[in-house]
Amino acid sequence: MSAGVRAISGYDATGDAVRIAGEVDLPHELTLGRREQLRTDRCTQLAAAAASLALEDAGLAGDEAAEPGRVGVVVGSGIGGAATAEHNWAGYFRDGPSGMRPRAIPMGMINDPAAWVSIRHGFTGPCLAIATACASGADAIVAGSQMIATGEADIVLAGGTEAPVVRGIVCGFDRLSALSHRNDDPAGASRPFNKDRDGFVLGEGAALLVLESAAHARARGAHVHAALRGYGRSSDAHHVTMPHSDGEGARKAIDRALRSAGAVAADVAAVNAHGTSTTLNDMTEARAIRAALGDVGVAVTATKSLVGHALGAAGAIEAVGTVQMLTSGLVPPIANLNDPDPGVDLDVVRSAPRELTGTLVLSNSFAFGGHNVVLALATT
Amino acid sequence: MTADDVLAQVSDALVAELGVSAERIVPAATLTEDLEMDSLDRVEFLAVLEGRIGTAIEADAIEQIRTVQNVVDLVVGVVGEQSWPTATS
Repeated sequence: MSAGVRAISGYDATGDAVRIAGEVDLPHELTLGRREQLRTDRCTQLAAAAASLALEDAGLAGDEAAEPGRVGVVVGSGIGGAATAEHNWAGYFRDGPSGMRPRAIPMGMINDPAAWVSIRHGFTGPCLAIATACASGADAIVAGSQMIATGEADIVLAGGTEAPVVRGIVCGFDRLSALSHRNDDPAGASRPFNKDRDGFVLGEGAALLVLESAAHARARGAHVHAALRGYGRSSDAHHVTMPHSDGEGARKAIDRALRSAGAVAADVAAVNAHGTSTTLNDMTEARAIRAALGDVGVAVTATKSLVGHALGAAGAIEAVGTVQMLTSGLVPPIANLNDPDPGVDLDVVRSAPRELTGTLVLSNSFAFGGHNVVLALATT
Repeated sequence: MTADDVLAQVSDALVAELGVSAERIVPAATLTEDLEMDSLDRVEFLAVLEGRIGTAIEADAIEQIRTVQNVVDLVVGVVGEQSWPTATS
């Protein structure tokens, strides 16, 4: 499977101000049959692919592998079925009610990916969607861990999905002046913490993690990748799109994540930053990380430099990236970081991977609406 | 247009718009069991047929339908001898 920022192929963006996005090419074995494709939005199709990969990796792909009633599903999404919405509204405004497909509502609803994963695999535990914009994927992981902590489920498939490479969504974010216009250099457009960054690059994608208690994983002999040691959350209670200029909400979330993990700043080996590549986020996040962790030389990286910003999936995709840092012992460099913003007082990882010198890594997710979620992930 | 022409059009609609495998579509095939169409598929199928023939079909009529042949008979009854519109728009 390949993913990366490129010229948009999902629709004809000729003449638009933004003509690049992160797109996923699903391999045949992860693609739904034609009949299922006609019944689902792409955000559900991406979630279905992620679910298959996650269950297989966890040794849960077989029918008998888990007790269905004890398996929960939590799938975050910022927007839900964007293409379905656009297509059906266009039909409605053109032809009236008959211009809408009867499946418009179920295909477009934000909980369809979660529902579909549950239906497809027969999981009858708790099943829900989380919608906290760009923090949805991380919030879904928190929600899943809480289901396990309270005994409501033994296993939870948790993460996020997004398929926003749809003209109305791309143009909508561009109207907010949030997106990069670096159309001539797609791979170089997402450049978190670089001086000449000019906005984020929308991306599509999905990531689901299999969560279970340590005891449950041990009992079934599961191969465990990492532990969710804790999490911290806060709300800016400030402005719908702008963070506090001093990063107060983000700092609180980092503080709370450390407390929840029973850790101190010096324990943090790396941070997988929210790092969107917007002027505002990266500067504010840099201040927040600095305020929360101080001068402890923590390595900072940013997954979005590679795949763009998949909104409600981003927190889950980046949690997977963080887990891979823990299992590989390497912190990947931030792509396109050739001239770091001098205002960013962080130890950003450049050019080459760096050895991970510790066992605890934070994964940051901050969202429109002022939702701040920080996951504290650790080696087992 | 003949009943065979209508069957061809009905089959094309099922394949193109609902993703039903062509080899499963025979006149005797039942929509629910053989073609595994759920209630939403039926509503979508009705909408597609209406779009193709350019005429509304009574919702009651579609609910009575069991087989592909029933669909053909229904469409023949609705469109009569008129020619099938060429466009789906």
